[in-house]
Amino acid sequence: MVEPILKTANLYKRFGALPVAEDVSLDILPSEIHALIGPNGAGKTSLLKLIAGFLIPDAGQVFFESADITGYPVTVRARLGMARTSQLTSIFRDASALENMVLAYEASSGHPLKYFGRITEPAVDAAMAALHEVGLAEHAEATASALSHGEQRRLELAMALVTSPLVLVLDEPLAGTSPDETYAITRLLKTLKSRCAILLIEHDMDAVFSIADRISVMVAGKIIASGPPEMIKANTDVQAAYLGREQEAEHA
Amino acid sequence: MKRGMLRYIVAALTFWGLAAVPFLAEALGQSYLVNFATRIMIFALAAVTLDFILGVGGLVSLGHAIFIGIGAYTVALFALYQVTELLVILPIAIAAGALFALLTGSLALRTRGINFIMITLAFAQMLYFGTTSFSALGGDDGFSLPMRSSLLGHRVLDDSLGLFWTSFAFLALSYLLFQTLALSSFGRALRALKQNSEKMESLGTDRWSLQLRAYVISGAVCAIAGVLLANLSGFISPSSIAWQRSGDLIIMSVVGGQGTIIGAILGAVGFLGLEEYLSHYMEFWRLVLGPIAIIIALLLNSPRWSWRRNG
Repeated sequence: MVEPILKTANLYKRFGALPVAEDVSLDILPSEIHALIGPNGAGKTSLLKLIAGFLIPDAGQVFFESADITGYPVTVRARLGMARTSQLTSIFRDASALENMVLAYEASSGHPLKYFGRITEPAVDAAMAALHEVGLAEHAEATASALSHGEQRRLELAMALVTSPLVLVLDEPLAGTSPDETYAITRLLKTLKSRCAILLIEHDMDAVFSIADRISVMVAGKIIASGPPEMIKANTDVQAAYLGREQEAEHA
Repeated sequence: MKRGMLRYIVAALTFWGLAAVPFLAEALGQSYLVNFATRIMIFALAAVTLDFILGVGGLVSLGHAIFIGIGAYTVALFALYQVTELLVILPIAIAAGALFALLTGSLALRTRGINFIMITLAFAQMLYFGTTSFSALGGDDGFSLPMRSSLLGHRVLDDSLGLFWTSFAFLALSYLLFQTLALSSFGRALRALKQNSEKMESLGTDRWSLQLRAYVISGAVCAIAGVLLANLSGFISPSSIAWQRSGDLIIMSVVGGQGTIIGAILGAVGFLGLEEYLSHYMEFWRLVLGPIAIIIALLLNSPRWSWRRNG
């Protein structure tokens, strides 16, 4: 049995009277793509924030490589090898794409403490390699804010990649991307799973069912089903709670 | 790259211009110009240290003049014991500046934005009121230095040219230090924290410790300006370290183009030059200075005119 790289154990979190996580136990195996789906407001983004350390759970634990990281701050989790992209693109808008990449590379390798000297060659090489992977190499010198929405999302993904993460936590990586970009990103994610585990939230069901090794379905703060795509498709609870509703909407 | 070139040209012109002052003063027979330029360079040094945390790091400190005060009062304290050696005073002033920055910064940086401004102001006010009631150093009335500092026993600062070139050297060194820091990965990370600190934390960078380092370096170097200022004016009083002085430093560092470092020196030249010029003609010279500062700040910091981004 493979040890999960990332695991949550009985997580609870409430915002006032609103439960956003209720007894959430989830595990992510190395080199798997694990998709988290569910209707809006189910608590998916909050769960990612609990995992990344932006929220502290009321009860329960988060494990990373079998170590309890529940009380660890965001920065420490990042340095352990957890990279994340956010729902609303979060980049350094005034800097060039390459500078964004160098910042990400240096932040993950402890470089900000170097007080003297310019950008090093390994930093630029790593930055360009990751930009190339997401197809942004020719935009390296462009200011980030001048890139298109889809390019900015790919830049944020590249920034996560250049930190050589063990786990990639992606909040809707395909939101607002063009069909071509969606295709390119899903193809990229498939190749990435040989390097790191991926946990992602996504609303594009075609993409989710084509790339995910396992899918967990979250409704009202609870995981109601977890398993391979075929199993999720066949699960009647899931159909009732989520997929069914969408199919009804499509048929209507 | 073009912007980088422009910055070096501006910096070279600025320092050549400052270096020409003593010769100009002699040619014109206006010897007061040397002391005036020394005063400008001392405030420029303080403004450079502020520009590093404000312009590069995004930390608005409304108590930065207190570091000038720490340096100046270090000179005064040693004068009480007849110690005037710069090689003793300077390291202790720098250490005191660093220590004060470390203690206050570690608390103030738990907050950000307006709270940070208020906490730096509060700590500065505490020290300010401390000096007003410090009777051994004159309290409210201030303290007259019996003599200027010496270097290895030589009284090089007694002569206004000696003080001029000493201030020039410290300004040049500080400029080089902060310019280098601003272009290093440390400086890059500081700028990034200013833009998007949540992202930097997601990437593994601890905001608090990074900004604290910047604050400590800035405060330590700023204390040097205080040592020089005490020597220049021969007199130290609480009013010269009041929070209004911190406001002046902010204007100097902002009007020159935030985060450019060299801009802070130009800002000091412009601010103190205007102050000198306008105060000859009117009592309410700040009424004129204020709008000028606002217009320059708006122009220089608008994207079209900005030359602060680094290549």
